[in-house]
Amino acid sequence: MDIWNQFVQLLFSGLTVGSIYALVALGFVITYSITGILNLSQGDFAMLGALICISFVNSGFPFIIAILLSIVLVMIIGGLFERSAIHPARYSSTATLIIITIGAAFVFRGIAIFVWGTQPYALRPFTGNDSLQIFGAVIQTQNIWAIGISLVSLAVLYFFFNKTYMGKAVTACVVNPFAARLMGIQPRKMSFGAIVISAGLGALAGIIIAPISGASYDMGVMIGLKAFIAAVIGGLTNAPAAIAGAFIIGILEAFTEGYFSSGYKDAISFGLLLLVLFFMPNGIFAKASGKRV
Amino acid sequence: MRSFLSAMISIFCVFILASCGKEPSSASKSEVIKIGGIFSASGGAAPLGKPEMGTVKMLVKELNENGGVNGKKIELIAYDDKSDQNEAVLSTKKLIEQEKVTAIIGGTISGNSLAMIPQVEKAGIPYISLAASKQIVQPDDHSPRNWTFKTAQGDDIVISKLLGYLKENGLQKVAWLNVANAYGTSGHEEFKRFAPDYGIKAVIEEEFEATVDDAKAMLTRVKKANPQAIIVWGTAQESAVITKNIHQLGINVPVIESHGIGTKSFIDLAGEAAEGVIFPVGRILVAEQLPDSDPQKETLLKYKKDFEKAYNYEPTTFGGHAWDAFHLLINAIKEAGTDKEKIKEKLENTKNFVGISGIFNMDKNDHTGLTADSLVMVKIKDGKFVIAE
Amino acid sequence: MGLDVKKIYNGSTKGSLLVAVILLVLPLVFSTNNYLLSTMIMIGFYTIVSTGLTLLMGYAGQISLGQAAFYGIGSYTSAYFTTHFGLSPWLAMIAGAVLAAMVAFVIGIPAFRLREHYLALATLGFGVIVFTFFKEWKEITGGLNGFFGIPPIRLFGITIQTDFQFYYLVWVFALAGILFARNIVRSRVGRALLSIHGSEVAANSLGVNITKYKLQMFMISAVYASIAGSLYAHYVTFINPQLFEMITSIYFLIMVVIGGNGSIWGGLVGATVYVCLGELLKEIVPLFIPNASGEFEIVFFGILLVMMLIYMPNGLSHSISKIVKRLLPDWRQKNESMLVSENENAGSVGGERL
Repeated sequence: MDIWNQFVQLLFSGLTVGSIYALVALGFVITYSITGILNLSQGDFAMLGALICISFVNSGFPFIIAILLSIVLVMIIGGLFERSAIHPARYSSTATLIIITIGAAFVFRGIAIFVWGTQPYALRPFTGNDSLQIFGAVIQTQNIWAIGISLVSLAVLYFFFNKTYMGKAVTACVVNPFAARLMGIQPRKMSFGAIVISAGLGALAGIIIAPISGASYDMGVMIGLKAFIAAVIGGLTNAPAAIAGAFIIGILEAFTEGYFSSGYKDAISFGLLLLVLFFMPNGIFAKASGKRV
Repeated sequence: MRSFLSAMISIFCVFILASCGKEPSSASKSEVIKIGGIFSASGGAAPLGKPEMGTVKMLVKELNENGGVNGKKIELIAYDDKSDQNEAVLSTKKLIEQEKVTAIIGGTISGNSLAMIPQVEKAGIPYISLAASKQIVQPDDHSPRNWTFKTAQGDDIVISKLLGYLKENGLQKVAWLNVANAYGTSGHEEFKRFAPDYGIKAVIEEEFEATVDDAKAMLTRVKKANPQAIIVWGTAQESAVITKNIHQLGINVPVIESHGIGTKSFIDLAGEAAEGVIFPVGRILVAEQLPDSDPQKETLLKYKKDFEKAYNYEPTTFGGHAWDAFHLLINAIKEAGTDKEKIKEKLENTKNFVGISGIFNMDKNDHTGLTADSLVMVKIKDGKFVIAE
Repeated sequence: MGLDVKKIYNGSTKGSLLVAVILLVLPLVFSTNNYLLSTMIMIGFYTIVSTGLTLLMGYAGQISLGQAAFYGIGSYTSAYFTTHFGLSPWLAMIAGAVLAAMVAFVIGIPAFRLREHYLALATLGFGVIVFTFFKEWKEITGGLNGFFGIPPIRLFGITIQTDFQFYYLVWVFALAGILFARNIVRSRVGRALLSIHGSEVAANSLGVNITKYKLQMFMISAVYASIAGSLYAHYVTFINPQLFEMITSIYFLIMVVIGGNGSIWGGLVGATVYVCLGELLKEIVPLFIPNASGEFEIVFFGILLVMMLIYMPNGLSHSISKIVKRLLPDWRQKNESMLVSENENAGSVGGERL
């Protein structure tokens, strides 16, 4: 396999993995932008989405219905989570809230083990198993779905936040909750909405990735963390930057694996995280804003 | 004062704990034989530990319904160590000190078994491990292993079988890929140790994460190295991803894997990529296809039937190790009673015991008693496991 | 409703002595029950780590999700030097502590410029990186196959082999650790930390070098964890990287949250409750749900964590003291202070929300 082929192959691998991280990272960014909370259980929404979808499919539901139902179900779970764990603690310090989300992650995982056990499950790809050959490198159709959907989600969210009243209302809550309330906008409802939407995005991510690498109770952990890194790199409030960050991480990991060694993959990603946190805490795409992180 | 109070409360908790634990939970010793079990029924090793625990519980029930051993019933005290080493050690101590069991079966993961061994050796209690590492019975540091036995083929045996297959088929230059956990690295160690004896050389050796989504990046390097065959050493989920990726990249060489993929979920996950994959595994996976002359066939079929009836899922080779351990122990108790020293001797003298994992022949220096013959090469054909000899 | 400086110095010496005596007498009463002794030994290790983490989280107000890394550094350093170089376990322990402190220093300098959630992430990332090294540096750590054959500790010519002996070793260290923590809290450093906790801006304007103190606490918590790790290695004689994964760091966090992060006994309380609950669950859950296994523990601790943070954010020590206050109002005069502001709504783990 010559140099060019390998390079393109690695690029595709990176884009595939990156698009999964991107969808989950979007969820992080939405939650953080609107509520200021870092939701460390975001990855587990992906896990729940994947497993619930598999259960529906195995019970005989048509594929599309199964996907939609699972997303809705996970959104409901997200809502319950918000009301029972986040809302009562909304005046606590951010560190407390982070730890609460860690606790929630445990609960999701424990319930997943209880319902589905620890073994992995399979989900069929959306449009079949063919691969395409581009520039001598191989990419599955499922991977193209992943990349495509993440870009579409990004476009939708961009439109929502910048061009609709609702979106701008939401942004207002983040910038100045008091003023927002004066204008008749309710920050409390926003928090609920933010988490519900993030949950839905997470579920979608899980459903897309399940055909590629299977689904099991612990698939959410690493995905969540890596997506987190992506969001931080992008600046935590900047959705397009987070997506870019996700692809950067994906590609970086792919190239590390491809040219160097796979064992150190995690160390490289987290190392990048530390570098960004230490030297560019507002994300590598941030303009100098003067606000200390 | 308040912190003093809270410290008092915590000390109080300890007293509760102590009094909770202190009462041995059964009737007088003479009516019951107590056996301890420690399995990883939850946590990372649950797919292995659950069938193990299930098997022993099922066998105890069956034995007691048929009168027990020498007229006495067996009481099984089984703990879930949650795949955690510290839990395994604590549970061992509990079994030895509080429950005062006659023998212990368990230690699903090699790491847990290794941590438990110093306890059982010190206490002088027969212990049958269900994990594979060679260190359990033949430690590199020559620490005592008088009371420790194991019923799982060591990775050295499995690797030998695999290398034998490669040699037979003229596949000298191979790519070695293992999952980055204790299971994977153990296989790797044995491969490195024995490959030269079979004239096999690894042109590339790589590791992949247990949480891998896509390994095409790493596989590009494998493809470059041009191996005649690829060995993938992992358990079902991650091996399936690698296998699919190999197929997708169009790398058209024989793929040989480990006994870790011997479950239906591997075929489901890998889809059409699983076709043609070959791996060494215990006979239980293909029990129905064995010739009737095979001495293990009857035992295997009965075990499979009983287990699936009780629990509704396949017992796997791991449940089989537990079956073997239990029967070996019970046979020893039948002849030696509850004298621990005598039980140990009986175990050491096991000859031609037809078990699930193979036919056992132990002696003073071999506390496992299995050879490469206890395994068969199995191929995946049309989505099913088929014997490939 | 603020902090009464006078209270800080009126420690309850009698109470502390009583606890210490109970701990030291315990094994004599239960000398044949090795199970209980080992449980207490594990509590001992966790107490040491948690006390260090309490200093960091409760007094300095910083959050760390990577303590397991230091625990591991202590374990592996001790293991490596005593096994391969025959070094005395005491020297190896010191080496581990020094290494841990140095690592904490290097990570701490950039990290403590960050606030709250970014710091949490940084320590999390740091923990994963250290874990990866434990996994990959096979020549030194043995990788995932583990490191076994760690020799026991020798003290005054006696080899510490039995649980009885080890119990005393661990608890002497644990009590010493709590004593040391108390001295820190009462010293200049402690007062500086109080001021930072109250208001960083104010402290800064008074000339308190915030970063220096936070860094000191981080290094101290690292040393605590490292020493506990060294002792642990000699106790179990077999260690592997999976003992030092991210989840272990989170368990330490849970202990501090349960125990309460404003009291030097917080570590002890949290570790004890955590281990006891775990053992209790093992006994009770199978009675209600026959086929249950350890998953319930994870769910239970997750729910517990969430509930505690919502309803009892200052941990058990604080809640118990509230009960005491209501029952015996005149005991207040003799109390050791809670360094956390007594405003209940500011559930403060790691600082106020701005």
